[in-house]
Amino acid sequence: MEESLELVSAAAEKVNAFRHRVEQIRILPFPSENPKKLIELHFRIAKRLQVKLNEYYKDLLSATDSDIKHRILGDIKLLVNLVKRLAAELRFIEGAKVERTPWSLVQPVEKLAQKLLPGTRLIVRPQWHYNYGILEVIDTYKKATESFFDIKDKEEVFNGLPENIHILSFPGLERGNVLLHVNFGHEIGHPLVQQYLLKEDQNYLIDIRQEAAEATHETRPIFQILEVEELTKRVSEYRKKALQEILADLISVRLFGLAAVFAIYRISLFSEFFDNISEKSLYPPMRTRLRYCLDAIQWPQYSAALERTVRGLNDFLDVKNAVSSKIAQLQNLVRDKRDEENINKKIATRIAYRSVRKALPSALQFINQRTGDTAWHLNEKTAADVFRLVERLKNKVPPNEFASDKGGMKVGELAAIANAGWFYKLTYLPEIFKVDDPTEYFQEIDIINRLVLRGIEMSDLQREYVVFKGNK
Amino acid sequence: MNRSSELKPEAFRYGFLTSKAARILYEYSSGNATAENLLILDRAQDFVSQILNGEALVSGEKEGLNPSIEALQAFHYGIKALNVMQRLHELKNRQELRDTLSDIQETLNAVKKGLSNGKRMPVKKLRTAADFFNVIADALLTEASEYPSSEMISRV
Repeated sequence: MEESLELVSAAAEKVNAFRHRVEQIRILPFPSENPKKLIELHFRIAKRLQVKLNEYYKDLLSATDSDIKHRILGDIKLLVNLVKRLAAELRFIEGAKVERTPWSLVQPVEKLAQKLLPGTRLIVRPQWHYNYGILEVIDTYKKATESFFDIKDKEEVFNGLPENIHILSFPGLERGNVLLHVNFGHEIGHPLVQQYLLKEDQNYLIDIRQEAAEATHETRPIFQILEVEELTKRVSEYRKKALQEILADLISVRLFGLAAVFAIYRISLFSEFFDNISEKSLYPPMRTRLRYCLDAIQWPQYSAALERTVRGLNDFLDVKNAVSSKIAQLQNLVRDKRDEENINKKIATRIAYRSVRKALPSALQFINQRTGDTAWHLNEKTAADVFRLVERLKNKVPPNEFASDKGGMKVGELAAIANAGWFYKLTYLPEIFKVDDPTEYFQEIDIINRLVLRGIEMSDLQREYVVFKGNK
Repeated sequence: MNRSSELKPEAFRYGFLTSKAARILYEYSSGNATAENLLILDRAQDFVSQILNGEALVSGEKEGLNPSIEALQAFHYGIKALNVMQRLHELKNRQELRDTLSDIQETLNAVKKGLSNGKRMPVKKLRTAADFFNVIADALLTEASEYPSSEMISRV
């Protein structure tokens, strides 16, 4: 019994430490409502955890049966595990301070996410880990505590708080690399992909199971079931991860056009899993993902639009050539099919990716429908906008607006500004090994990133001002 | 990522559920029909239904199938538990497996009624159902304490 009571005591210390930490963070200033709401949720959870632990303690004192004691102690250990996880997630809130995030980008990205999925709330924060990522927390906490909190607890904890908050993380090392942050388009695509996966017809599992059964060799009935179960589960995990990543990429391409492809390619350069599937994270090979992205942009149409625009404006041939040359390089890259060979080598991935290919047409239909108004396409008109924004970058002016054909100034769209940044970089910033003095190169990159960031911020303010004026 | 999270919500969700269900079954006595206990037993029944759904999917059944990832996951937990309880080796075919799971579900139903009407429950059946949930709860406690190696699950 003494050991059990010590466990309760240690658990109480942990819950108390968690509550104390939450109270410290609660008084910090935050730039937006979302971190405040999330810390409020943690505070309410911490209070309820203390009450629950007291109840467990009383139950333990009165329990006489060893099985019941075992379960109470199990519940306390699970509660402590929950505290450890929640405490680790406090870093999401602490990291969401203005000075650590490219703040001018946060609002436009959140607006874009809300266009994709109304009601989406974001907390943007840097992470030490080198990657972009997104995860939803409120619904996750609700799910995790579904059978832990009773009905009254749930009301006290979750009432009056948002339905969702997504933590959008970016590599802290790249804070100022706005062009790379086009990858936010991929991340904000994940909640939409999740919605698709939730509504997807699950009958694909029957086909997967059939193929898994044909691939197993066990003959004893019960053990065959075990083998089929394991393979079916593994295949469905590969499939889910592949669809999540490929579809999020395609959403990013819908939102940002070529800029999305260039940003994903930049990330892929250092991927350990360019041609393989990660056994741990199950991520699809980057080469496969790039191939889907390139298919999605329909380059012949884009290329023709660029061609016509260059002719119409009688300028920017160098920009068009630089972009075309980069696309040609990427097309060459995806002609290599090493990734597909690796996928086909293993039974589980072969079945999974066959199922992915089958699912893609209806998944794409869903995505195209849901991104309808938000999608950005490169056509003669938008290409001209991008070129004019490139012109501003050449003159070291933020690319927030440009002279319109009809006279006056036109505010640049987020995707057009991002594409202008990438087009400029591809055209006028030669690779570092081609320059004599790298310092100048780094300075130039820094200037471009800052100009693009400022362009995004100013254009967002200009649009808000138009709405404000319209409402008056 | 749905999406999966660092928190492993499924491990906590089913962990607390199976632990509470086991406790209700171990503590079974009439007059204990609180709304919370009945809700837990309802959810435990749904969970066993999912295990049965998962079994039907994995066994290649064609009729009345309701396939889902959740059912597959529930079946995974269920069959591992029967293995730990040394019950799997005794089963000759899938019908016996389904019978075992259906027995647990019937016990849950009987307990729900028994909590209110004071009817005595067959001890062996009660014990089997309680042990089943107890084993799953222990397995999920282990799963919940395993940290992922990377900081974020869903990423570029």
